[in-house]
Amino acid sequence: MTKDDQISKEDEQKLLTAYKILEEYSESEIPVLRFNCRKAKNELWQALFELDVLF
Amino acid sequence: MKVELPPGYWNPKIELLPRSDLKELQLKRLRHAIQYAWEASPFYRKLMERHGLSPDQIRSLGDFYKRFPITRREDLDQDQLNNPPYGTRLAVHPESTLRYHTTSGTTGKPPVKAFDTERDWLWGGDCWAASLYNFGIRPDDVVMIAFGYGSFIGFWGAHYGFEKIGCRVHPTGGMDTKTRIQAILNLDVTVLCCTPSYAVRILHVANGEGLDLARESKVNKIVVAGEPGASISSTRKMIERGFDAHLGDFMGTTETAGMMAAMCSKLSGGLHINEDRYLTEVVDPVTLEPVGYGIQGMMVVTPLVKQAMPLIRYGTNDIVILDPNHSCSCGRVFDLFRGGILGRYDDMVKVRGVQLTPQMVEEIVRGFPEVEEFFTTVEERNGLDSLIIKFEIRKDVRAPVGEEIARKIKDEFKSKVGLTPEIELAPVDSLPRFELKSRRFKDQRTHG
Repeated sequence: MTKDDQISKEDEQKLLTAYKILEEYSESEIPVLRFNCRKAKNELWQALFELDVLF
Repeated sequence: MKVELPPGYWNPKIELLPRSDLKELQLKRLRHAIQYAWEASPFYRKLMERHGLSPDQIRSLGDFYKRFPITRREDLDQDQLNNPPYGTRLAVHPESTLRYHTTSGTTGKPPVKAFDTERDWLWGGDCWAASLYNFGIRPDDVVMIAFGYGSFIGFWGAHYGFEKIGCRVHPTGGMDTKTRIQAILNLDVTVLCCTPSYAVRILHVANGEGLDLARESKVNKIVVAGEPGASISSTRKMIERGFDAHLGDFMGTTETAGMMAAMCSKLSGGLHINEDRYLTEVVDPVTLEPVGYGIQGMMVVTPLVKQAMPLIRYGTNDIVILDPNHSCSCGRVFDLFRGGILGRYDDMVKVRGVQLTPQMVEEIVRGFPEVEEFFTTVEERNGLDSLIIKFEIRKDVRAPVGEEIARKIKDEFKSKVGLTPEIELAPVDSLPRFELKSRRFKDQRTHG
């Protein structure tokens, strides 16, 4: 992870990958996975949106 | 003060952008918000069609300021009235929303109903978290939120913002003031979050109990919102001294569902606008033309992310003065509202030719620490408009002192405002007390 207070392109890519994984499991048939991953996905979207990485 | 406020940026990438890049980001988000409202919100689709506007015509912020009509509270009220129960602004099915809140209803108008989706709610909590962090809140803070946790949005967003940072949060919805004071002491509370009026109330009750919260409590930061009190220097000083704590002013509204502007740890006296999340303008309340830096005007706001209920160019009636970002030394790109919300245009009254706001009364009356509570009315007496200020003195202050204060308030009012009020000393505990949205000013005249 980047050490200064700016986010690198590599960090952005990693976070987008994490978002896609959470998005996938947000559709799971298993409630514990579906609801927790959906919440985590939305929390991560919030961070990525604020960083102007995802729209 | 018990502690120094720690500096820091919640989102350095955005908070330290060059101003031109911030404007680009705002335009990108604005165009998306307008397109979304056009597609999903019947209220805004109709509004734009009525004004011969389509989203593709807004290509710059200049186009937007020039062409997009301002929405007023009356428009939202009328829409709800004509299209019960929620109006036509709603852009999603109510079943897909997460939260439902209303405005406080203190203006006497029917409250505006507001929905939030999960994303809206996360976004609103994040707005609060960003502002709280930038003020100096950190995970080791212990927070008391002193409000009723009802349908009024109040400090709900603050609760989630504090939790996001990792603070221990104590909700105190059902507690009375004495119980809250004991909790402040017993739970080692470091941050008190409430309205300025209620912070003053806590000090008075503690004083009555023989407690000195500056010395005996660990409160070192106070987060206030909901009223202009923190911008009133006498009220501000009273709270800061009473707790020996830094006072941070925060401003938001139910309709915008987030924290629009807040003080940073530099405490410059201005509130940084969260300009990556809100597009704000300051306009002349009559001509609706922009007034520029340093000039008093009405705040118009557009939240740049609103899924459930878009809100575009909302005229708030709040009185603000815009200052450029460099008037604070923190380095943030965000402009500031000088002193926060200075009052409301719909609270402004004219008495014998003098323009008066409730804040002008509070500024003078709160300059006397012996005053516990006060209430102001404008009435017709003997055919003349009269300003009547009733006040209570603290229980430990003797009556002759009250008479002396009455004379001083009258003199100060005459010299500073140019109006001579009638001052009445009220019996102890006879005037109303407030936890939220205090209303200490009533115009009782029958003529306009």
